[in-house]
Amino acid sequence: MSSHPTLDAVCAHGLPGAPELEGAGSWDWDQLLADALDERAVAIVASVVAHQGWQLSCEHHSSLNSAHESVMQACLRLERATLEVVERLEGVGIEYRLLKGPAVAHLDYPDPAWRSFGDVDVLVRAGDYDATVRTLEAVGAHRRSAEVRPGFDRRFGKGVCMVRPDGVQIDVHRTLASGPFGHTIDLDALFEGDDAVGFGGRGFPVLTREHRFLHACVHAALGDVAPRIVALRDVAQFLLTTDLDLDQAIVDARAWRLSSVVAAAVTTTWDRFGLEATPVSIWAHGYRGGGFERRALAAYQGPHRSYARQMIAGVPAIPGTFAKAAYVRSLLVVNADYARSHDGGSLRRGVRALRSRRRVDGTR
Amino acid sequence: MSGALARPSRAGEHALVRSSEVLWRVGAFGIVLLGRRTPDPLTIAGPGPQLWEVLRIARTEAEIVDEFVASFDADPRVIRADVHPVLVRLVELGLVEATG
Repeated sequence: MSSHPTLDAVCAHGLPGAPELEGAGSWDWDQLLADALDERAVAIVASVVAHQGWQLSCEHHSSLNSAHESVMQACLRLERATLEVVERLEGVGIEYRLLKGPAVAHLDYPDPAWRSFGDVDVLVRAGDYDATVRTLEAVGAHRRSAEVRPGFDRRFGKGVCMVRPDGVQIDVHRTLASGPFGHTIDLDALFEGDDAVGFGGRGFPVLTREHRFLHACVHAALGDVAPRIVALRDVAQFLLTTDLDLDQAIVDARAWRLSSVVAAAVTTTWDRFGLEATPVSIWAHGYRGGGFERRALAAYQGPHRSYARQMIAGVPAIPGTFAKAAYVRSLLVVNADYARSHDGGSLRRGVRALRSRRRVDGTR
Repeated sequence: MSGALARPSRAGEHALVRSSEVLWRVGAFGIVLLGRRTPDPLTIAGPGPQLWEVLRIARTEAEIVDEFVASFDADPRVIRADVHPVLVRLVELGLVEATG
């Protein structure tokens, strides 16, 4: 049950099969604007209000427009930072794909002013990962958190958040998720296709629409305990308003063992927005994944969600005995800086659980 | 470049066009623009989005004024007084380029 029902209704507006919006004149707009700020959904709310031509009071109109202007200014700064980052990467021959925010805003929404974002996300190949980090460090960026062990991120991690001196955060991704689902995605396939997004007078390579959709599902289902409404709107946006090749997306999801992630994202989206049932929502509500998918998904959900739990749940997804052993060894001998700064309590509990499991099943 | 805008002669005016490198968003607040070298985003409220749309292709200031006069059915002197300083600022910030 959502705690922001009016915000949910507004954020679903314009989607085929969304409930009719009624009574906008009697809404508590102070609360709605506060909820929109809390959920980082100001851009959608402002765009829907403008699209609908709703007449707000001067005070509410001014507050909403001022907030929208502010988040759009932030997005432009991030797009300029994106230009600077990719020019650095291109300068040293690093192949990349832009992820999430700017790509989805420009390519999958009716206007980029509908979709705000808060950082720069780039995907690089595992072989370029260390060079990417060094390239960003050379222009003053620093890691926001320590690595589990030297070399862990390049081999097993989702990636790292680099922070520039001006505060802009650059998420360098090796894969699209931490934990087990990060290991099942075909990383080479993410670099296939020639989709591109254009802004600032040039183009940038991005994931195909089908892979952008799968990434949106990963973000919606695995990104937070309570999914953010913008992540859910992304899922609905792809499914209901774009020419997404859903069959291809489902084939890739199955190959990458992400079907339960897609089903969870779609189910949550449809439930939260009260959308009319469609074939994909009926499939999602009825989907029951196998043992691996159920156990893996559980590591991201519920009150016991933790990064450590996701890492431990990743053990079965690591391909090959030697790699599996190296992964387990990395988790058992954690960098002290990492343990201090990252998820310390649950990590210690997780390591104890892993040691105990190793004693039981003989994993080395 | 702003000097080009001060010329009174229509024939002598440079055509103005958006810089291809500019980042921008339109909303009910107006339009917000950011160039590669501008320190901060610039917001133009009111007819800012329409001005930006007009600047999609190269136009002289006189042509821009004519277009706004037709759209708003207003006194050309008033329109010019409003548009000129905005164009000067856009050129100064590198958000709009003089061509030809």
